[in-house]
Amino acid sequence: MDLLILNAIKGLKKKKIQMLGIVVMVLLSTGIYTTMNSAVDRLEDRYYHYLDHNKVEHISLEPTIDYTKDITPSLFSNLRDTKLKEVTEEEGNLLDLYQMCLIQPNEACNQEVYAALEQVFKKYDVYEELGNEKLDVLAKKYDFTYELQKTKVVTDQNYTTNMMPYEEHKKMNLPHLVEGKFPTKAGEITVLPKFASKNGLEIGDNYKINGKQYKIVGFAYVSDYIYPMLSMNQPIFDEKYNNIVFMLPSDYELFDGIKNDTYGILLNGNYDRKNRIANELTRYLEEEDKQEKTLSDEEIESIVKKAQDTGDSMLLITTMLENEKEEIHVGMNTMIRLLRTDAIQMEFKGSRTFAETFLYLLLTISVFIILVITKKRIDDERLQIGVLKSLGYKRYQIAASYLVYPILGSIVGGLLGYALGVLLHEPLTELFLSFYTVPLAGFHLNSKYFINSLMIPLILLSTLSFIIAYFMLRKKPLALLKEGSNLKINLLSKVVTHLTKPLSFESKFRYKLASRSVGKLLIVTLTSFCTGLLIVLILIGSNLFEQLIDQSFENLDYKYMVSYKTIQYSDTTEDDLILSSTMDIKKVLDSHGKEKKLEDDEYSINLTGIDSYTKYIEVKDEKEKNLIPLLYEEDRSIIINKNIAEYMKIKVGDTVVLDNNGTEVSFKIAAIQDDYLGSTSYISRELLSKTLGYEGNAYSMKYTVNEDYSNIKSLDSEEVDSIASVFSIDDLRRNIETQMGRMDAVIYIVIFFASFMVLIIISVIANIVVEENKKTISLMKVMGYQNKEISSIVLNIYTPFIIVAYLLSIPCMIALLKWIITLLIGDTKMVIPITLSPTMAALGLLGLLIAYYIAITLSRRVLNKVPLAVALKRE
Amino acid sequence: MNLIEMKHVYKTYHAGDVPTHALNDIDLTIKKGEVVVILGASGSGKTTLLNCLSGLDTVTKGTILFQGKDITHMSDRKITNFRKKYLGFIFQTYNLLEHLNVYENVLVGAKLGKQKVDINEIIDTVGLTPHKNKYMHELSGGEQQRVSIARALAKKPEIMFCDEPTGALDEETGKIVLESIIEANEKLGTTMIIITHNPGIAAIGDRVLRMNSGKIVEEIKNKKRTKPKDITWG
Repeated sequence: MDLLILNAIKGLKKKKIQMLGIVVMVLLSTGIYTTMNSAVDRLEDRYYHYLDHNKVEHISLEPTIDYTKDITPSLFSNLRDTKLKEVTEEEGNLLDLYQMCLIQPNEACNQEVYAALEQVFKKYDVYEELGNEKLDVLAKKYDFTYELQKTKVVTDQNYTTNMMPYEEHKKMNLPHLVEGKFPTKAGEITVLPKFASKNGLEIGDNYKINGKQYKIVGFAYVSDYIYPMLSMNQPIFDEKYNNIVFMLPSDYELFDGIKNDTYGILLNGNYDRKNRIANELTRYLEEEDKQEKTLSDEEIESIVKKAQDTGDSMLLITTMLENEKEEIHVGMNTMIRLLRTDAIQMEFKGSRTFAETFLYLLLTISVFIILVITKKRIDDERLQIGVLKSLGYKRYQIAASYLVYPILGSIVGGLLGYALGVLLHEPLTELFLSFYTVPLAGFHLNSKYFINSLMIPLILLSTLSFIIAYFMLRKKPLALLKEGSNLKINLLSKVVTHLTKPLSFESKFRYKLASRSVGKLLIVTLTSFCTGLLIVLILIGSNLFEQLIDQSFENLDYKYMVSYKTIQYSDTTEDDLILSSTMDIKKVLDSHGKEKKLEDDEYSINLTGIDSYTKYIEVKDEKEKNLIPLLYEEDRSIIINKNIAEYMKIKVGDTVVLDNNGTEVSFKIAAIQDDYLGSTSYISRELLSKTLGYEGNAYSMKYTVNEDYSNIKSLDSEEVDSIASVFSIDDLRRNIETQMGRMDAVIYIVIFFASFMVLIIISVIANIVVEENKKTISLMKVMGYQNKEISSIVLNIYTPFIIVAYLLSIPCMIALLKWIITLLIGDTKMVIPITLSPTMAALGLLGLLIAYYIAITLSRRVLNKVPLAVALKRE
Repeated sequence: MNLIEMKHVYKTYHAGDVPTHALNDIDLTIKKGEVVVILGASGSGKTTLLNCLSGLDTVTKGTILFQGKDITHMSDRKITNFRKKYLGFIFQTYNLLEHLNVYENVLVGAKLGKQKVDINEIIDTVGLTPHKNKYMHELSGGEQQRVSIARALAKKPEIMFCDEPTGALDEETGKIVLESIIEANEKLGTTMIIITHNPGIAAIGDRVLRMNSGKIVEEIKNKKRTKPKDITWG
């Protein structure tokens, strides 16, 4: 057996390209595997410790103030003499109305009044006092710590900043000092380290925010902003334009900005931070059958103990939400804040999954290459094998000699790949830090990745190669030793012969040569198919975001979307006034009034109430026809978008019956908007207003081009107090385009990588084609065929199969992507259009064929070197 | 006019430090339409002679003329063209293309010829019409060799080089193959050069060149060609 192995090693010289192919595949797979895992390790290793050490909140909640029960007349009187002493006239009128309702319940005090009252209470810190009282009780019951997390958001030009008061004795969400010091004097601030480096700022520099000069004294991370999404304007963190600043509380009080306070809850005890609360909370909130009964104190105590013993934070949170639904609720900020702290866990999982998938994908391609080499060698050496078998060598002994390729390829590729991975992890870690603000662990060599980089390829490739070789060596010695033609014509060849009858001799020759070995053809086709999948993935991915963004932004002509904390009233035509609400679809009736089967009985749609004279919103169909006038042609009309229409299978003329807080309201589908973003529908503002029980001119949002909203200092303080948020379309577009710019770099890298892979694979295959057909090539040279003529009929044999494989990969990848997106976005009920234009498809095919023909051209050199002596050799 | 002339041809191989004189001062001429048998044991140089004569290998010294034209130092491209235009080959191991049937294998050869040929006629010449659509694994050794002959004849070469054409065949089959070769010579006027170690085959030729140690040691002119079926199989 030693001699067999020695023979195999000697034969390696002739298999340089093929060995290189294996080594490169293993190198790439283990390199990516090591890089991604090492970089993620540096993030993850300290992340959980960071959560504990910096006491990052588990969740944020809002105390529910019941304005009919929680405030007594005497308490309110007290407040009016203290915190609510100096209010505006309008605020005073509101307080007077409320005071009257406290004494004598009155219909005039409705939800709208209470919502307005709450804003006043928040403004004058009364809400905090009442909230603290409620949370004190709950904190003792459920054993948690709470603290009001204060933030003010300010946007100035392109910069969005979250301001926070720095307090030395914070109970949770402790900031992490990276360099310098925390503010100790008025006018001192800390900024994010990446923000400083991107804007050329250093410690000691002055920096202006909202027209006021501050001195940077340190760089700090905010522990509850690990993924520092500052606002809905800026869903993707932009390290150059987004900043979080700590300042002294005294500076903070004087600072003008949109307030965004919320209560952080930190459960006391040892809870497992690997529980992704965001996911579980979403699932819990969507559940219909929640428990109804109220738990006793003993039962609650037992649940608290169980939660603490098992580390199950969701058990405690869901119990609290269900049992105390009169006292606390999940607020607007809850999900955003959860994303900030635990979205990074998606990165850990995603990156590691990607690394492992890629590892196995590339190793699978290596297996294909080894399969082809082994088959070729066995075919070439059949006489030798026949002799060995006749002499008494066992099949497994001969098969073992074919392990040289996978073993050598795995070891060399694995070692090089690991080394490459270690080198490249640093730039990848830096890239992660562009998105996440979390202290890094130092780098340490993880033996697990080293062992996996060597052992996984070694075991996988060797085992499969051995099985393949063992199977291929099944022929009896006599059959192997037989002179003359040994090739039986397979069924595929016969079919191909029949199909290619009308073609030219050269074409017939090619297709027959290609179909002579079903195994090899299958390998070529499958490899091309996999490569096609990768190319199609890149093309669709690069287009998808742009498509979605273009589609969404092209209809938006306004600059700012201003959301208000309470319902406002106006008939102004200067801006677009919007009223919005969310309702569940209860029924769908067809145009004849017959009830249709509901595709999803928990589907909510967003109703956007607009006016007929809307300036900034375009609601158009596929043919670019303006649909808004259709809302006013018939009573109770509604326009839904394609997302809703396709998901719920609703057509024009159908009627949707919606649940408006327990009351059914119905609207007729007047048209379908050509848009896939969200579950958006449009309705007359007046109609929606009355449906919701408001006066006809209610609005909760405004679309405007008024530049005053770019900087809240330009607005009066009453306006500022009533604003919940200002959403800048320009900021969002710029934010996404900037990130897409980065994504383009990633896409080009992946395209290059895919092309490189294609080149390697096809070079190997072309090389094998030449090797396999050496005798034919040599014979044709002897007979008088020139090299060029031989190349054209021997090398191009797989072209049609590669084209077919690529074309097949298109629908497969589209289906796969749709499935992946459904998995990723879960139950968001979105329909994302995954399409590939014929131009892009043709480009992809062109890329693949270019790589194929480059590989063929490289193989021509090998073909030209095939000596005449091969044909002349006697066996 | 002589079809081929070899003048003072030497061919030396260098395996390590030891030179091997595969051809040692060869002088020979071959006339058009002749059947020349080159006889010799293994290592006598007959295959090397065939390779040099046909342009498959280069000589160390000397000149080779074809129809008076010096082909000794032609470029790779020109010599390939030369083989394409004037030469045909038959090998001991047939060297057929296994993925093509009989008709298609003959067509591979016919494609090289300038004139259009009737493939079916050529297949008929070698007696393989019933097997026209068969593949190589469906044919016997003798039948495969006849396909090889048909392929070589398809482009109507001036000369056919036959390297041990019966080496892998039994007597009966071998004689049938030799009959096809002689028939092709008589019908088409193709010059045949046959390499063999079988002395019995020498009788079918016009001339026999006996080789030993890279030299032509004897030249025998046969008074009359013996029919292949009548030769004594060596």
